[in-house]
Amino acid sequence: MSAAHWPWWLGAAGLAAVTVGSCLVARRPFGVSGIVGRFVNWREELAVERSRVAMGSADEAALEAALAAATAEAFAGMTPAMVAAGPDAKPSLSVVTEVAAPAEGACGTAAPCRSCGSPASRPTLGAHAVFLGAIVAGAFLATALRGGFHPTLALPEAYARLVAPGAWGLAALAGGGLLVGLGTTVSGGCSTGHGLSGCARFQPAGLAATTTFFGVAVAVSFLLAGRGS
Amino acid sequence: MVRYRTHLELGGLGLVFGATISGAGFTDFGELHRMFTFADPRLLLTFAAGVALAAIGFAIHCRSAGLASRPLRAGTIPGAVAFGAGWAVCGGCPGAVLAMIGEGKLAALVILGGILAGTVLGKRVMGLLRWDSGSCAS
Repeated sequence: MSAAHWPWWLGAAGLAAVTVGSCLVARRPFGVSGIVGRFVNWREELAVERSRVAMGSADEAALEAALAAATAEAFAGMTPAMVAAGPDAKPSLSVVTEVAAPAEGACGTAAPCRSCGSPASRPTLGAHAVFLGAIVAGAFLATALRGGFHPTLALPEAYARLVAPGAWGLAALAGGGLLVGLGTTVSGGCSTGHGLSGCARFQPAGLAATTTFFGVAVAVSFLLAGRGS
Repeated sequence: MVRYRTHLELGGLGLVFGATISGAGFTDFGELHRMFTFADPRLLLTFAAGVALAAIGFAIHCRSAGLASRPLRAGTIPGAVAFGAGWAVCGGCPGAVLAMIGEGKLAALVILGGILAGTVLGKRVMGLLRWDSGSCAS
């Protein structure tokens, strides 16, 4: 163990605190790659946020009336009064209810997401930007407090030895990052979303993904170690 | 202040998370490599104990939170294969890369660029294959 690093129990306590704390604050599983993905799609995310704000500021009774009118319009022969009358109205409102619900309950709409089942509301892009910025700040503070903050463009010594030095090393960093972004997007999580949060909640996808990405990382690391020795 | 309560809470969690992955050594390529080659069990123990503690925390505090379940999807395993390979090669998962930048390891900006490009590529792949990752759960 490096003397510069925390003991395992302190790191474990920090990881668990953030994983559970995020659940309590955001009411959804913790996952950094999903948050990063929001910023790649920032235009769509902002549009959804604006529509949520507009929905939130609208008068509830007016919204209900507008929804009933739109639903009645979709079904010839129904009036808004029939829609508002509830399930006793004819024809059956079960059909109307289906139409009134979002066709594709996606995140950010009024209904729980039909893809992931998460509650509709989630932290704003601004709140998530604060979170990502605070990760940078937290790492800076931890490094500065142990007297190790020395900004550098150089590749780590172990990296240059095991992967590649110089320009090839930078290319490998970019290629590795590309695989990380591609993999976490396609898999639906990373070492936090699948690894910490998914495994701690015994989620099938979390357990399977963590076993897989850890196993592949072990295999690739042994290959790198074989090359480097 | 109430309006920005989530900002403050997530900011606090981000500070703790950044300090933790930096302090524990998840941002150190050599430490990560020693974890993956089982040369040093400390990081593995950190991660495993973190999962165990979080499982206890979820059982106590989040039972009624209505958190989404995460079933296996078409992209879960292929994506995890790509992520595992990338993580071992560049030494950075998305959170760790931000922490590396905070530590002053500026070469991590190259990894971050790769991650953003990979995320865009991943979304296109998902669209072409009509796969749903459920990644909006974050």
